[in-house]
Amino acid sequence: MAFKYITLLILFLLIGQSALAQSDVSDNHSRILVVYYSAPTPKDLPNLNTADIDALAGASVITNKSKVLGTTQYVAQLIQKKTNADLWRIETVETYPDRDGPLHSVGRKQLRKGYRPKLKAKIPNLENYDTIFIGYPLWWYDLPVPVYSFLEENNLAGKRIYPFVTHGGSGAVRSMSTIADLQTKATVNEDGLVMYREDVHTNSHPVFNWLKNLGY
Amino acid sequence: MNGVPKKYIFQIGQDIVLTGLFLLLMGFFLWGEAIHEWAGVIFFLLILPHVGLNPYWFRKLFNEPFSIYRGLQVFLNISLSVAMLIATVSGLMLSQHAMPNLPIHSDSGFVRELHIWSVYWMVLIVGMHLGIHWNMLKAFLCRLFSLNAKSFFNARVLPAMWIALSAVGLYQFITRDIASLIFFQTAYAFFDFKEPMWLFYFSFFTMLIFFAYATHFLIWLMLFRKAKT
Repeated sequence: MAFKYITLLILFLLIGQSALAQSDVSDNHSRILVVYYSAPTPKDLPNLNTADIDALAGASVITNKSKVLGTTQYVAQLIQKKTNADLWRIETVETYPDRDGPLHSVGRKQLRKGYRPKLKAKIPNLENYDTIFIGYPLWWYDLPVPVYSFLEENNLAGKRIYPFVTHGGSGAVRSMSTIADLQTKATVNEDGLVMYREDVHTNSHPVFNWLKNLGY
Repeated sequence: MNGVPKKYIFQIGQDIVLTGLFLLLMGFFLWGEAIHEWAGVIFFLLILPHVGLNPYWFRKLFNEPFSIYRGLQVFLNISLSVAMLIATVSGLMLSQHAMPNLPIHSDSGFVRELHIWSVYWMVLIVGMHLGIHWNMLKAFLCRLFSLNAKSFFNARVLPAMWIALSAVGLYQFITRDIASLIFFQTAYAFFDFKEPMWLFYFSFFTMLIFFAYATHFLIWLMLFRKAKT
């Protein structure tokens, strides 16, 4: 008899456990995170006029519904909405030039010197995410130094990483395998999304096709 | 070897090395930037004797009567010199491995664009440069290896091969959108690391052949065909 009760008790416990586990999954934490670094946008330049926006259009910044977004930021938002993910922008303590020319010079100098800018904040509860989309523009055929900072400061072991890149004509170059080199314990999909920056605001199909192929 | 002056043999060897180096240089990213920069330095140093060993060219410049062919040759050589000068100076400015501390050093995106612009023009001009010397090279190689220029292989099979390679070159020129680099439309040269390396070099080689053979053919068509008949 006692044996029966014990069995029942164990059964109840098991069911309870699985119910608990289920409530864990349905927790309103999204398990997907979209992290991106985008060229400084005129968000910080309140007195921007249309002429400036034109000047910036080639400089990794696009306009969308009268908003000015970084090219990578725009793609990141598309992915975030489609996958119902959380969004995180990598931001540095120091401000970078918002014009293409000066940004190029600063970027290359910092890449050459292996400089790592200080990031403004750390992602809270990084452990909640198992899938991370990482987006960035290329700096001189390479990852932007703020993305190096991010990848070196955070341990993404065990997570699936899907990189997406906006470039000025070079393609992804080696940037995706660089991510894999920096996060050896993560599963990096090196066949990520590659978009020419001039195409981003005219055609978002590649983004959705890519996500569809990944099962989103 | 059939009384071919050693100087000419040296020159043809140099031409082959220069062509190889040029292809290596176009694959800027494939071997890393340090190798690219040193290859560029060696390329420049080899260009000096390439030009310097042909003093008769400079002598001819002022003594020979003007012809369209002559004009084309002078125009091409000046264009090539200008492109080479821009590529060398901008390359030195951008250098971060071979000569990183030059007073003219620059991290400007515009300098990089100039560098890309000039070297992609060089694909076109080097090809035409080869084309203008096509007959000379052909005659020289035939003499060097005691080949009969009129044999079936040399008169039929080889030209067919050049035409096929030219077609591939034209296709590569279009699909790789080289025109956008030549006309300053794209800020960065494209590199696809999934593409096998040999295919990259082969396609740039075929582009050279396309411009060379097209030039060779057009010169024959427009300038020398009448002279023959």
